[in-house]
Amino acid sequence: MKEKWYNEAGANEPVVISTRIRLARNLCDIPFPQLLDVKHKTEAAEKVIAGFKGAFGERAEEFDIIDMGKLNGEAAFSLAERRLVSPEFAEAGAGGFLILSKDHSISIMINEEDHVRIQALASGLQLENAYAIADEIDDMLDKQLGFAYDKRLGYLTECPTNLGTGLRASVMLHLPAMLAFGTVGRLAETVSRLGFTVRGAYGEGSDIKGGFFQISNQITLGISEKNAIDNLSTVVRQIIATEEEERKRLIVQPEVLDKIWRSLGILRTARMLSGDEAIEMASYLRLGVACSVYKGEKIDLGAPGKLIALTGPATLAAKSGKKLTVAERDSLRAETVRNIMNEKQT
Amino acid sequence: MLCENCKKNEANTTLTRNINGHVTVQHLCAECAAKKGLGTMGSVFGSMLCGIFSDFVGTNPAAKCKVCGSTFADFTRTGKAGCPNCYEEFYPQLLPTLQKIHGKTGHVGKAGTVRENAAKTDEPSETEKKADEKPSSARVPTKEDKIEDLKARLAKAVVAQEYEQAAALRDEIKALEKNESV
Repeated sequence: MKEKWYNEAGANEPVVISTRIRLARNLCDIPFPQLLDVKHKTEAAEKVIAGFKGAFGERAEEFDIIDMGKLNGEAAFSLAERRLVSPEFAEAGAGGFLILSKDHSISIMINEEDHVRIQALASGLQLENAYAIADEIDDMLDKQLGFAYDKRLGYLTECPTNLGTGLRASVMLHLPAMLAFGTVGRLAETVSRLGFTVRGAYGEGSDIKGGFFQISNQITLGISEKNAIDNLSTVVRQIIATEEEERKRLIVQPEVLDKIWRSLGILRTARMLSGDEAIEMASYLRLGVACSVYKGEKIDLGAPGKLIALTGPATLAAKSGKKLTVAERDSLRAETVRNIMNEKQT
Repeated sequence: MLCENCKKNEANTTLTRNINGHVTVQHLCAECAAKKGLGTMGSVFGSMLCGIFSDFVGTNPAAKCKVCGSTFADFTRTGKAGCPNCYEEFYPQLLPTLQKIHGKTGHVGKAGTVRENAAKTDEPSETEKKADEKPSSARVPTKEDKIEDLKARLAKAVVAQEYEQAAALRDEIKALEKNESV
């Protein structure tokens, strides 16, 4: 079986964790999912799935087709924790279907807000590559399904905020230094004027955890896919430069260095870990690896992301196959983290 | 533009009145609009986009989409379309909102497949990625073409905030469409 993209060893960018491209598409002449009952959603989904199979032929074998209504809560939200589907999609259940590539780099949500949402995911900053993949899938499906499109308004989506390209390009960033020095607030303000939005990847507002942020474009009408992606790419590169500059000031602080080293110890040895603590420790671990603090240690830059992805509460419950008490969950999380930390690092 | 009533505040509400075919358009500030009873509309707009949809005061909220039956009021209340065809039905009314959301109103990205029955705007090339619209003049115009042309002009008038002209165009379209269905 192919390795999941988020477990790849190749995630070698110090600041950017991952890239996601999403294209919103819809079938013609069918109301948007919010107006459909489960029966009609299922009919629409069958159409999309048939179109997908027609488009992909033998390659369809590389994908799993998942009926969200048949998944239990843990399995559904585990997908959301790994950012393969939106939390709303996990919540909605019946009527939603997911076409997921075995390596989890392609996720097609059927009957989320729109009939079809094509997502391409990749580690590091790979906007062009991820877009090329999503674009190709869009072309293949469009030939079969004929997505709703208007020359004036572009691709027609349930929410007017997605009209036009239907493109949402997101980059997950690790900005512990900018968070520590308070630069993130100014950043959010500046990028919002440029048509981008920045929000905490874990926790919102004053409760941002681990300095993980997601930046994405907001404008989809009157801008081409290429320009939207180029602009985002430019902004991200500037953020990377700022973060790297500020890290130089951050990692010379004795308290920070102490936390970086302690985190390594805790992640390797802890017997119980809460979700928040795991994210915080993973953040210090990532900072330590990215800034080459851990002399003499071989730790992959992909490890922190992997341990966050695999230790969400629903993912742990799905793994154990039963509902867990808080203590059981924290101990399973610690065990999972230890296993990841003790894997042979490249 | 300043409010035409108090001439003090910035106008942000358009009040279009059609009394026996006599159309008047007034641009008002929020305060004066509220005094004229338009403030109560606020409670109707429950969605996140409610502020954005304030421009819709004065359009027909009962207009229905032929495919899904959603009204324009549904659109403003939820901030979401009922089906792809809603955009065809409510295109002119939506333009100011799109301008606010995106800063633009015309698509310039990837060209999708334009279906025959959906493709009412007749441009020289389907793959042309131009934002601005040019109504066709290449062949003898049918009534549909005329309506389409009027709709395009209406859309432009709305964007240019020429509401008086917009109201007249809208009535003209309505009359043509009514005539068509008889």
